[in-house]
Amino acid sequence: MAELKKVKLTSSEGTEFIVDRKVAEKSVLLKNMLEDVGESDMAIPLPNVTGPILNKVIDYCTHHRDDPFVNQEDDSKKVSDDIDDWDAEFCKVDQGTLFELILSANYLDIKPLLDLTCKTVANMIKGKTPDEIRKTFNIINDFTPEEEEHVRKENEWCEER
Amino acid sequence: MFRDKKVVNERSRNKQRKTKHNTQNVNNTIEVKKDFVSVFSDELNLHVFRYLSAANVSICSQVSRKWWRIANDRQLWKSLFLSRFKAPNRPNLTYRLETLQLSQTQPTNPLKSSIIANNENVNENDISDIEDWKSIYRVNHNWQTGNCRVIDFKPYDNLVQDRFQKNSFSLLTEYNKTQVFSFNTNSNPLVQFKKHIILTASSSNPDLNNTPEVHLWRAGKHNEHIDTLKSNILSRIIATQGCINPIYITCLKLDSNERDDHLGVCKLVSGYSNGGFTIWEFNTLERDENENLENDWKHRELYTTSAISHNASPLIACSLYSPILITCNKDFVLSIYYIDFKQKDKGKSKDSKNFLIYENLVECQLIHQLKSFVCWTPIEISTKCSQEKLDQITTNCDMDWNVWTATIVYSTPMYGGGWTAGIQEIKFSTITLFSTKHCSYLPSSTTLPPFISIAPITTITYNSGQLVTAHADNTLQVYYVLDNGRTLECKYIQTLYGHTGSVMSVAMDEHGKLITGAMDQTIKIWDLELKGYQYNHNDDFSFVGLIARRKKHGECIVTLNDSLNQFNDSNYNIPQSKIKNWGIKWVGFDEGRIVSVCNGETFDDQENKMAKFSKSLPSSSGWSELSLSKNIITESSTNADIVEEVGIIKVWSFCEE
Repeated sequence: MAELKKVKLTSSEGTEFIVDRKVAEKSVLLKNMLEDVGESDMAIPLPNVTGPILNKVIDYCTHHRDDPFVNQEDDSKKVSDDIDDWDAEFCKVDQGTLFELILSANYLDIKPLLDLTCKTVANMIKGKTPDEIRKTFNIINDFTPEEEEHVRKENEWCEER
Repeated sequence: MFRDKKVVNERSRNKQRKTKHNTQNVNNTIEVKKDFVSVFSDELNLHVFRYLSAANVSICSQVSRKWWRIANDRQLWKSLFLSRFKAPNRPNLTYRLETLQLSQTQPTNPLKSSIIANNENVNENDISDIEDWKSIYRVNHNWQTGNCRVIDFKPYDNLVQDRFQKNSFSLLTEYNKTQVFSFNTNSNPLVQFKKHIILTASSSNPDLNNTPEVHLWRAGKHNEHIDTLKSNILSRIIATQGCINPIYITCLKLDSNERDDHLGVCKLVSGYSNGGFTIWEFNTLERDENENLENDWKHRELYTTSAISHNASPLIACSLYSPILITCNKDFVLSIYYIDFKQKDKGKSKDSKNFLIYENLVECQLIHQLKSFVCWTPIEISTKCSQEKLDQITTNCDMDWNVWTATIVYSTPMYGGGWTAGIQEIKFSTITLFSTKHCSYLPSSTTLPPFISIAPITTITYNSGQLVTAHADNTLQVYYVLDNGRTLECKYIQTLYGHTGSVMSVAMDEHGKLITGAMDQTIKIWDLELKGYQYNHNDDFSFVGLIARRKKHGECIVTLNDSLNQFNDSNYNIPQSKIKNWGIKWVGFDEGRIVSVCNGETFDDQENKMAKFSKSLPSSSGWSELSLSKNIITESSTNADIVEEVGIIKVWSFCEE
């Protein structure tokens, strides 16, 4: 049974992870790779993913192993308040981890994880003033005072009423 | 200096992180907060931003230069636009919006030039989509929220003093203005606009020796009078033949064929009280005062009806879709003309200063004439080309083989009292009248919904399968016109409530955006959008009724209050006695703005109006073809119709100007 097959993954530091093939196949990158390679006991190196992050990713994929694969690419309104409790708990990490997760989800092509993490970041931005956003992400305001005034005026119309 | 240094440090650190982040061990990260925008690719940043609302995105653009660039991404704004508004089926919106801008000397955005120019990784996809989606979003947002800037001016205040003799003006004010309820066509008062140019026809000087004039204005900081159109041919006729009745303009319409728009020329037809008309061409291009070109022209008279019979019936409606002109006179005789511009190029050659040569080169042929016995004012005519050249004809042929469709909507009396709307569709080419279909909404007494108004129709409009009538009881009614092949069917959809005064003017675009102006001094914007329905230009709107149930259909989005206080504050001297008759008499709109006209003197001939009412109802229905040779005998006086002077013009602008 193909489903029971295990897959070996190696993180950037060389740490080896053994996961169910079904869990690994949540990543479109790994799925395609496994299909190309076929039956093999070789570990798949993931030089772009660190051990702790890969651990988190495997946690996510294991929890969501039975989710149906959804392939939706549309321009419809994206909502960020549809995060369930487990996912919300999963995302309670520091910003560094969160951003690494986004990069890894993007690299491994795990769309639900990418969506989840991006939604989490979007939720951190929502409802904040530009200054609060700067504080949240430690951003330096590199506008000149004139530019800042110009940009503020440029966006006045769109304020939520 | 300190700040600059910090920026550099931050940037270099980011750069480091960008190259290193893959090998970094997360547990070792000391700094918890970081600017992910600097770390991520544009694609990933946009993925995050896609979960934000337009308001949030605009906040984000104020954070830093990098954030500004991402937050102004076209594709991002495109998806924001699509998620809030309907799919746009109008091509090249940016172009259209740009042409609307009043001032050409708009300051260029310093950020756009500095940031975008320095950015190496410009998204390749951006080039394929040239629309400025943020601006488009913004204009639509403004429409939805009624967020607009208003410019107003009273065109004839100064002009009247400057140009017209006092006595002709005082004669007007003595006029009996008992207002029972005035009928209106959408072209009365006589205002049209195109881009930044507003055209008005003054009827305030009905003098035997005067030639009627059309005035061109530019609304803006200085509401300039830019040009006057006065027919030389008509002047000559008045001078040589003399007139029994003063000639004035009774209808005014711009060319609805926008084929030549990019050339900056626009055609205009002005219909006269003597049944004649003039076709004009004017330049819509913004001109620099310094560039005074030798061959430059502001306007020219292309054609004027030269034969004038003294008892001709005045034109009450016209439609110009070059090269087709359709006029309707007070006796409801519909004339379809073909304007032959084929020698235009010769006229344009060197001798462009001599307009007389040019005039003679344009021919106007009457190709069809029809008469109706059931049609009443208000009446609106629209024309479109329904079929490009027939295949079997060689292009070398001199004839124009296009097929046009004229749609006439009108008010029609019902047997047993009351008024309803009628519509007729005429398909024709230069030689044949292919078909005419007509129908009117005739509710039977058993099926008459209690809320259907049969009050007199004050104004009427039609566009792309939707017919809207305004009634004297302040309601509006929406009908779908269904094409059942051989016949038309008028299907009542709904009644719109909200106005507290007679609706004097309606305007609607092909997407179902409806603007109404009423005597209650408000302008309302309604959405009659056919959701999920792409209007098919092959005349086939037979399935319109299928999607009758729409969430927002008939919802009044915005009410713009044109309150009196505004006038009292401003410089206009309006006597209190006039204020009660104050209201919005004309509205028109385009992608970016509404132009409205309020008040204006009404001088109408009550006796004649009553005579019009008491006309016995004829038995035939619809428009029937008249033989061209038959001479139409009319006995009406040319002064019979209401002509309104243009009062205060307001431009409600929803786009950045």
